[in-house]
Amino acid sequence: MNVGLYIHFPFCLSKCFYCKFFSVRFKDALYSKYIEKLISDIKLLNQLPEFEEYKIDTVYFGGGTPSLIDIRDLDRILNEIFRYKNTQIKEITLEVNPKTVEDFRLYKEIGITRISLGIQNFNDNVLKFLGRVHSKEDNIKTLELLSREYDNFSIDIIYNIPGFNNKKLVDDAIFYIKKFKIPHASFYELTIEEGTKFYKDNIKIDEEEFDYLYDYIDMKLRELGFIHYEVSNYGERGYFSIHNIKYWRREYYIGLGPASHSFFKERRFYYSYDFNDFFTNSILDKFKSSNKLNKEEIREEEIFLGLRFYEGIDISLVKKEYISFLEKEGFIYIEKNKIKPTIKGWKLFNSLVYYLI
Amino acid sequence: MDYQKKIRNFSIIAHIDHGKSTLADRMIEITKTISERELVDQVLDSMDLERERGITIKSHPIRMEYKSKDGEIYIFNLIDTPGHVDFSYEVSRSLAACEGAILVVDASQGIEAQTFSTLYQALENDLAIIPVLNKIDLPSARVEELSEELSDLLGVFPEEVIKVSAKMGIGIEDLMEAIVREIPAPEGDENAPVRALIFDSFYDKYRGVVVYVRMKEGTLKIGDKIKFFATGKEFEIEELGYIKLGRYPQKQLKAGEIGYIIANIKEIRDARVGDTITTVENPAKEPLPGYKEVKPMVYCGIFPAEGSNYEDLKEALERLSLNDSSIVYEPEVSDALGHGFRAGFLGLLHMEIVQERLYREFGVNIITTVPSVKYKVIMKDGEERFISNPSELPQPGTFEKIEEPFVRGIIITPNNYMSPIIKLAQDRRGEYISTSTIDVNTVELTFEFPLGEIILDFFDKLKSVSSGYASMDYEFIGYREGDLVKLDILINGQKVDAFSVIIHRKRAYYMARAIVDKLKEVIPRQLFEVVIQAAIGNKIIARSSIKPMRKDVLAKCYGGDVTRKKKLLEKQKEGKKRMKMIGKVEVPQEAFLAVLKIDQVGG
Repeated sequence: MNVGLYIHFPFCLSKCFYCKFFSVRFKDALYSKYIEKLISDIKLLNQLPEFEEYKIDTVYFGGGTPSLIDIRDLDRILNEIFRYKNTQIKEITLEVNPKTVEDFRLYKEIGITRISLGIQNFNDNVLKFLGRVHSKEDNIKTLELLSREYDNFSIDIIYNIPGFNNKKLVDDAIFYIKKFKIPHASFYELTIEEGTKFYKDNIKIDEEEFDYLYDYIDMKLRELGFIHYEVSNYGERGYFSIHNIKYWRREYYIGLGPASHSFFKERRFYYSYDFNDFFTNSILDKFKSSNKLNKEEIREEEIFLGLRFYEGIDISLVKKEYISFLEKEGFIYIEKNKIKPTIKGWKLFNSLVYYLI
Repeated sequence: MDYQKKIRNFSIIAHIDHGKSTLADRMIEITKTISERELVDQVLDSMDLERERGITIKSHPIRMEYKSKDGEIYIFNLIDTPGHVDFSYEVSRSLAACEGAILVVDASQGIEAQTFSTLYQALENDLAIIPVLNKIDLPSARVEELSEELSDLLGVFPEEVIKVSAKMGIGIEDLMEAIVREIPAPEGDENAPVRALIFDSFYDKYRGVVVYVRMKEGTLKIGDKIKFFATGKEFEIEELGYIKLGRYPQKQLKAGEIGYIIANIKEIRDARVGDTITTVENPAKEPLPGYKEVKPMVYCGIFPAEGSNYEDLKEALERLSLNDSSIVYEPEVSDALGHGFRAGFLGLLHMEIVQERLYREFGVNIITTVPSVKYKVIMKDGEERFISNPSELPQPGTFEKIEEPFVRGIIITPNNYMSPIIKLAQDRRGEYISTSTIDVNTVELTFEFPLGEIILDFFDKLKSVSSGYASMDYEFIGYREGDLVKLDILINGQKVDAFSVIIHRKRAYYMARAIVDKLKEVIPRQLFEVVIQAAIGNKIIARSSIKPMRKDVLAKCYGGDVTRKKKLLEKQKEGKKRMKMIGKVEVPQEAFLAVLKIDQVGG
């Protein structure tokens, strides 16, 4: 059986205005301690009987800005993972911030198979507005370097930015996707999260604009042969994120690092949003203090996670009362015994889920 | 009958906040009726609700012994009166148990219009009135001016107006002496056949119904077999006595006295306010005058809301009606709201009080439908049907006509508010009857109203157009034909029975617009467009629509963190509990309340 490994790297050069993830400004002392704890947890995984029958097949370095990890430390971490006797790696993804990396060959050499590049936008004013530290020029330069070394990579784009011509911004992103033959993209609408600078500044999102842009992006990327395989993810066939798909299909994954989440043997557990919890508790402590989900919780999860994925879910999971209504209204469609989401269904995902649960 | 010479039976008439309760406390204190330790502030108002709303709902008589300056000890029976129009009949019965009344007026405020209606009832009952100016210690007191006014009004000398400060304890003795001097002693033959007036009753869970009576004639003793005139029911007296703070059992109650009777009475409906008690052995020929059967005027559907169920509601209503005989109810099923009850109340305040008591005393949460009156429908074959639930109105064309209940409303107001009040009354289809002058500043306006027009928010409106000064009393005068229609509300094509109202055709368009707009405001956006229509029969007369949601999704599920999605789901589930599904549309419970609060007067 397979298991994914998610590693959360909680350091950044600076905080973006929309970001709610756990990250702090890069500090040497914390950094070293973090790397050592991470390696000790991986070692632990290698030794535990609980994990014996599982093989790590995907690794995902997320953040924060994991491209700030020293290449030698990254190599150590990966070697520790590879030492895991049953490892059968299919994918190792590293999130990279433009401007932080110049040589992608080194990543390839140590075993990173996939790069996810935090482009966010191809407009300098938007990047400034978002609080990003890179420019459009940095983005293009990094894409040139990256595309020379990798053909399996992805970009993140943030759209629906208040006060900008968003259709034009999307067109720009599509232009570069074509130009650099980018095989995978995640399009996230700007979300105003509590506790962020944007929240404090009372930035508001235009829902009608979202409605329009979501359809537009879907249309444009389909034209390029992309498959819209999850609410916010598009990829050419063969380039979907193997690791991320585990989340929607409820396959197991172990999360290491502060604020990382794990799902293993029908238990969910996670480190809290600080360093202390991670430094003082091993991943085994976390696993042992968690509870198994009950049947109803599992069913609900299967619905609200499974419907985010284009393959949909088994019809037997859901409440029957509203199915034909939701199908008639175009929120879902039924194929064989599966309920599958439509674009319209994804836009109103939360409400849709509630009708089915 | 010497004992009667020492009895004084009276009540206190006062506007809210003019100091009735404080004054009662002082009297209780000065007569040492209860020890100071027992004297919590304002002992007379005991229900929480009464305290909060500053109105007295239930009467509590209290017996005091006062040693007068003439050296004699007098028995004072103070009978409290309810202070709201919904309970005006109860007021009249309390007054009928007295020989006198103390009119308490705030020395800064002067006599308020609302006080007049109770004062008139007292005068109609031939009570001796003792005018009292209270709060004379306040710098803003206008003692002389108001003494003049009161003397004009009551035909007494200004010097005869008693000046007190209940709060400071000033002038209380003067008042006590005036009660001895001015209020007539009761009369009535203690050996005649018994006639005892019931002026209040309540349910005691250990003893059954406790009846408060004023002995008009004859004598009652323990073991007497008694009979109630109105209901014809017979009981045997187990206990009787006086009421101070608690009950003081006696061997007998004689003509002129006030006391309580316990006779193993199981239902409060058997001891109706205003009824006359006599004995089986030696019955009086006739009951005392003035008994009226109290009939509900306002009806609404009551349904269990979030966290409550039908059984809880049923039990709460059963228990509540043990000590409130004026509430009636029967089971009802609504398409939109499920199983519940249709209940009748004396008025809107009574309805609100019942709702609050259901919640506070029994923890039952309810949704109520738009209040309605009882309509009389005359079918083509001449059959008469009474309908209090709009959704039961027969289809147009199947009946000959509808009649609606009319009331005579008497509004007492300072004369400078006359014109906005007349405008308000006309907006409510009130027919102007007459104006009469009460004093230089005050007039009495008489209208005839369809009851349905005044049950919802008329009293609030009346207060607001008169800066709080005007008051209204009303009585049922009969049924009259009206051009009435049933207004239905449809949500995405489905009729929602709980929103239906019967309304005059002229007002239907305004109400239709107001309801569909209000619902548009309170129903949240859904996955799909929601169309709200108002219809008379098959004809749609107003429409509004709620645009569908455009966005309701979390973009990210980062690093496999599902906690936010779970939280969201829990929040949604929590929210759904406060929703009623009507077809596929989620309608918040607040929507039912919001429709009740629609401004009735159209522009």
